Amino acid sequence: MIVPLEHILLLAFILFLMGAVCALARRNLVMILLGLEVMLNAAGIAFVGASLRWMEMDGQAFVLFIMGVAAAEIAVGLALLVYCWRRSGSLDVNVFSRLKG
Amino acid sequence: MTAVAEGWTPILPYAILAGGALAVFLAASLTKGRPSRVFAPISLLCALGAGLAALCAAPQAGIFAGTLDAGPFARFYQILTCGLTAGAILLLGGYSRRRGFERDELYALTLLAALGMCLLTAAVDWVILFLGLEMLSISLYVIIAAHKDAPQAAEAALKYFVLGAVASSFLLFGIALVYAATGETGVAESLRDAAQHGMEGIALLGFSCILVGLGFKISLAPFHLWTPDVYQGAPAPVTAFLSTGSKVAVFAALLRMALSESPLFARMDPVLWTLAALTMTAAPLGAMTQPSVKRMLAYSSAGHMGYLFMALLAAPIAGPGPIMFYSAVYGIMDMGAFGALSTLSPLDRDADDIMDFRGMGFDRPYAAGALALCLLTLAGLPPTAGFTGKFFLFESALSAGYVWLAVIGVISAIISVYYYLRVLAAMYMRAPEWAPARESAPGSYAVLALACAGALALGLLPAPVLSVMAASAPFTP
Amino acid sequence: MTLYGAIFYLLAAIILAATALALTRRALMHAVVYLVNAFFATAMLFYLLGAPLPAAFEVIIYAGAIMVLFLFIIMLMGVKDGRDMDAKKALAVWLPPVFLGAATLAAGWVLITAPAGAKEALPMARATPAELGRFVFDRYWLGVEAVSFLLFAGLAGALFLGKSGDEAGKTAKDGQGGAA
Repeated sequence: MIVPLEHILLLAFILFLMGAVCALARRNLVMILLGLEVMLNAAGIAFVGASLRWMEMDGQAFVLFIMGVAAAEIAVGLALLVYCWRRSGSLDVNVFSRLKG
Repeated sequence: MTAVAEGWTPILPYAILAGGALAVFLAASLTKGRPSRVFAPISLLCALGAGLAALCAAPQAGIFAGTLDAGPFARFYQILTCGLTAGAILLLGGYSRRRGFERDELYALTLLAALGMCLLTAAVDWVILFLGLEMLSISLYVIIAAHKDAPQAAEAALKYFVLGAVASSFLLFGIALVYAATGETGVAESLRDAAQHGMEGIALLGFSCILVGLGFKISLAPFHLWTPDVYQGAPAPVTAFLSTGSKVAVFAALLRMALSESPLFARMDPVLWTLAALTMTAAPLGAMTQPSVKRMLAYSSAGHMGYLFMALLAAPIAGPGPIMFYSAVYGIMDMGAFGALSTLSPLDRDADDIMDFRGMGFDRPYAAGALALCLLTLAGLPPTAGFTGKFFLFESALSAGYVWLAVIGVISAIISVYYYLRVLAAMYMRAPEWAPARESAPGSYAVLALACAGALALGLLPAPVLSVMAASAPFTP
Repeated sequence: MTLYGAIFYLLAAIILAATALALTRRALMHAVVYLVNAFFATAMLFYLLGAPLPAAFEVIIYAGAIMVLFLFIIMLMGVKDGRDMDAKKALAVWLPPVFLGAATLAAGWVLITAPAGAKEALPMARATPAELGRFVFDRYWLGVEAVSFLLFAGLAGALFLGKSGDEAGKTAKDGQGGAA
């Protein structure tokens, strides 16, 4: 190991938190999707670090799968975003909060 | 059976569902995008065929290099989810045709969601578990928005997407931390060995993240607030699919984790206890004041997940039997309730406000009767399956020593009777000013009849079903 | 601390700074560009941690396909930044990304041309792309199939949502389909 595993995990954890805060606190839909990307990327860093720690390739394989999932998820997410934008003309999530009981 | 035959039979359910999705698209391209009546039968046959294949498959320890379980546990949940998918397709067929949004994508994505559920219930490796959950979620995001004329469907889909994707990321990061702490990708192995490498703190953090992710999907208490919004906005048959199939499948994955004899579950016991108690109290409180029946049913489904989660805590001691039984009961009765709701809905919107249901018991006696029976089952009154199932759940919680949790659960169940009866009372109240249009929807009525039969049969004669489950008890999680 | 350790902390700092800047921007374009920078730095981090194939995929899929998809959508919707660029502000806008980009390139340069003596830790940990590919198809070929169906579901779903009668719908659909 060139650096302790804890440091790699700490980097991943900070990134994950930043992404989570962005996804849950920002009101702009594009920024929420970017936050999701950052969260997935953070998980990838943790996997690669763990893969190095255990000298196993499972973690690296997992990263490849994450990238496939991220692509599919973001494609649907952006399509949904455009779909809602065309109906309401806004990217602000506050516009989409008529469902309340 | 030959060795080759034994080798490929467990693959059949997945192959049928995946092939079915492709067949629907192929049929759509052959009919050149015109609305066609062949999509529903094709996808219904595929869902039933996949369930049948899971029923007949030869049980095996593991397939696909040990990443997938083909034992009795996985088969039970696959048969259940395939049956629920078939029910949802039957409901969707009539509902979407009359509202003009019957499309090939709708059915194909339903089948792909079912494929995700089957992968999720059988996954013994984190990679497959995550991919199954994502396949399920991505298909559902789109199906919820499928009815483009429904005013709130897009908003419901957007809400489910944002929160669902955040939850998936939590699950993924949790898996990454558990993997970092143990170096293993097997679900049971990594959880079992979590404390062996001196990184239990990281494993605990990872396990908490996994709980957040999965807890969101089955709407446990602090993470359940999306449920009423999404259930209200989605078309009723989609809600039926969302509330039964996806929750049962995710719960199967949770149950597999609980049976892994992991030290993490013991360490997290107070947190899990709080989650269960909170869910069982927050859900009835939320449901009590709802004028919207769909929102009420959403809170009620969260409450039922609370009962199941209570039994999950007891599962390492009391065994998985009660949870498996109640999963089936919950799936059948919620499918019946939302199915009846979609059958009773007028064309321009879904029957939702409690005032919409006034006089239904006289105008539409069969569908309203089915709704009444399903509500009584949800309320857990004897002699329905809801009573029998809850009895087993509370018994298992008591036998494992969770007395206070069982007490909270019983109180919650008693309170819940009130809001189910409210709908029931409205249905059998005279409302002469409004007569809904009657349409024939044989598919929907078939689902309702089956759900009612199931709710009564499992309630009156649980013994045969339980003996089948007992026979499948010694399985490898 | 070895040379590789120093590069790790440099890359970590770049990733954190670029991501933090990206997620706090008001202008969507700027956010995407910062994130592309963060993903490039992540790719180098993967390479440093002995994962060349994920590193390549990080550049191709994250920085390439997904971020370009974002740019497509932002341009498609014509979101206005709504601010004027005067000379002083322009420097404040340009300086951080130029600095971060230069730092990323420098780290990459050192990583590739490092003296042979410092390299001993790296080859041992590295899974060559061929090995990893063989491993994935050996152990996880079900996962590969599952991901292909997942991408198929995503593609079908995006097309379905993008479809609508009007002309705007067609453009959106093409954009989605091409990049997904």
